Amino acid sequence: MKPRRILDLYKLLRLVLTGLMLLVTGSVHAQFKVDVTGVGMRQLPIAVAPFRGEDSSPQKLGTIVQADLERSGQFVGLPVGGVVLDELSRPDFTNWRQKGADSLLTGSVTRLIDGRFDVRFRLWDAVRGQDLGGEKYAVNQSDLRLVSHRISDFVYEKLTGEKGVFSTRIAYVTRSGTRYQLWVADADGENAQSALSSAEPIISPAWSPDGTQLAYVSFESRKPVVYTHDVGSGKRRLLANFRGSNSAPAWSPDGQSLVMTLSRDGGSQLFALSAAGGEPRRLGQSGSIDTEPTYSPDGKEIYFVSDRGGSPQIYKMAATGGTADRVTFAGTYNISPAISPDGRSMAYISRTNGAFRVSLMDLASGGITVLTETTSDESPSFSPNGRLIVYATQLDGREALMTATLDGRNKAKLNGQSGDIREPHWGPFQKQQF
Amino acid sequence: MKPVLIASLLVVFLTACSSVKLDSAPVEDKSGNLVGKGVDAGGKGSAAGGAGGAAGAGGTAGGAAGAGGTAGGAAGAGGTAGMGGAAGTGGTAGGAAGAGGTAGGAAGAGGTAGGAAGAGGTAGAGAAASAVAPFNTAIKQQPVQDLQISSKVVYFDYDSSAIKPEFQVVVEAHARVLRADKTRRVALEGHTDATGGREYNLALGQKRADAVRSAMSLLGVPDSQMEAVSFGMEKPAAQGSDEASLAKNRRVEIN
Repeated sequence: MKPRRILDLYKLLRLVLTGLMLLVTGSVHAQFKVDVTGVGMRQLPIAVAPFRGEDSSPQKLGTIVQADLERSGQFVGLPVGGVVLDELSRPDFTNWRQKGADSLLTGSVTRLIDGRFDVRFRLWDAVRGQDLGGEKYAVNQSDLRLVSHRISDFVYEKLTGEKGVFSTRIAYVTRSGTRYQLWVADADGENAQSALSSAEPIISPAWSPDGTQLAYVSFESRKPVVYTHDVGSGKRRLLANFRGSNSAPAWSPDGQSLVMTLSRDGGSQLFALSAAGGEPRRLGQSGSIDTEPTYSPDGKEIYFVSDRGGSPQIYKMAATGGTADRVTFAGTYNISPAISPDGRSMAYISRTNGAFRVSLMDLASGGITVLTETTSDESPSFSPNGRLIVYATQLDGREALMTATLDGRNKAKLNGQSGDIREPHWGPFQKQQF
Repeated sequence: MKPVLIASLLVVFLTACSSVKLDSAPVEDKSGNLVGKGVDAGGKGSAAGGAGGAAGAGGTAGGAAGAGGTAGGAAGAGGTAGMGGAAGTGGTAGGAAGAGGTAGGAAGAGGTAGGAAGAGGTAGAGAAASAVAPFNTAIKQQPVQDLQISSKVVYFDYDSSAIKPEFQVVVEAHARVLRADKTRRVALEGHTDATGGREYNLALGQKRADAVRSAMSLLGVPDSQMEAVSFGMEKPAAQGSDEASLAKNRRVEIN
């Protein structure tokens, strides 16, 4: 995967001018398509026609797909007017090219006699007039959003060459009055299902690598303890309830163990613990705060936060424990590390002039990009394809979730529950479910 | 402890007293804190006594102020005078403070705290060379069900887990009760303000709770009677983002 580059103004201008010239010759879209240098800026123009039959469907599939694609930062949706097309239509590509579309998605949704819905789609390369494939599903009404996200994934992968994350799930916590709830929602924040409800705070949900379980910290017993929770069955297990505080769980990439912060021996220190429970193994020994551990994707290293240098900074050490190397040096408050799936970048929260913002560090060069302009960001987490970061922030005095592309140029607020939304964690790719 | 520091602490206390209603009994959390300060100030008064002689009265005054009543405020003024004595002039100022103290006792109707602090003041006079010993003496002379135990909160400075001198008395009071009753158990619950990350704040709250645990441990409380835990920023005592609210949230609650 190439690192994203931000186009400077000159290159952008050149691109636009080239585009204008090519527009005259009628081959602008082909030009955009072969251009791979401006990944940070290039947005694929796609027309998503309303699915035939979606007016009488509980979900507007075309709308969901277009919103998905736009949120990724890699697509721009074009207005399609009142055209009625489905997967069987043979579109007039000259017309779509004139509207500026590189690609065109068509489809239909039909209620079946058994109450399920038959969903079909076809993706077209409007430039070449080529059929890029399609699929069909028969799903329950409650899966219509999920199937829309699957279609988005299909489109995304066909057109960008990378896996889409639209059918993945995000866990987050809401607080409404004195009610705390842990939710599992679609990657767009919708379709949230409550996994846990409590009168006491819930923090730090963390998906297991197979996407079946959440580990989290619950204060329901008047102290922080760590549970693992099977999302499908709702069964949960008390994993760490040692003397003192138990917090900040993170799964190892193989799902066999978790690393977390325990204060049972005095002070907040890092321990590894089998996912099956049992005796924790201490990973380090410091007289300072060590917390917020997270594995590198290869499982070889643990990044964590420590105040051993006098202020909270991010360090890393071998996953087996041992000496730690400092990773962040700029500023006096760097916390909440998350490592990208390719292991190259680290998202974290950095305080600058009293503002807490999502920052991104290129781990090879140490180069830092501040991604946001908000002032109370928390808990960054990568999408499983590494293209987006979800984080919590304050918008208009409420806690809300946002996604950002890695260049910070494209941000979107996630919809979801009312009340304060916080503590997002992006789950892994899901296996096909229907 | 330097007299100047003691003086400034007392002044801070008196300022706080004058801005808060003192007429309620020390039952709710809020007045509990207040009483904590009042008793605390009494202790300071007795420490001042070590320096000035007059401060014995200052101690009485502080104690009375803690127990309540408008006259407590007047007595508090006596305490201030006592501090003046401690800081320098001695005898004369001490006399003034004595008067203040008497007034406080009469009008405020004394009460346990007032009496005890008064005793502390006396003890302070007796231990003129030491700023620490009279402080402890004052505590020892209080009955077990004293007012200090009704203060169960230790407050901290920003990003700090150091127990400030004025809250040592709270820790000591709880330590004494725990030593006296081995069946008692307490949770030391650390909290932070809402600035910063949840998990880091959880660890910071733990550091504060651990600090109180260590202090209690030094005072002879077995670990088996205490559990230090943290709520981080999740359970603020005060909403609001002004410094006064934030300061109320940086705390360890002894429950």
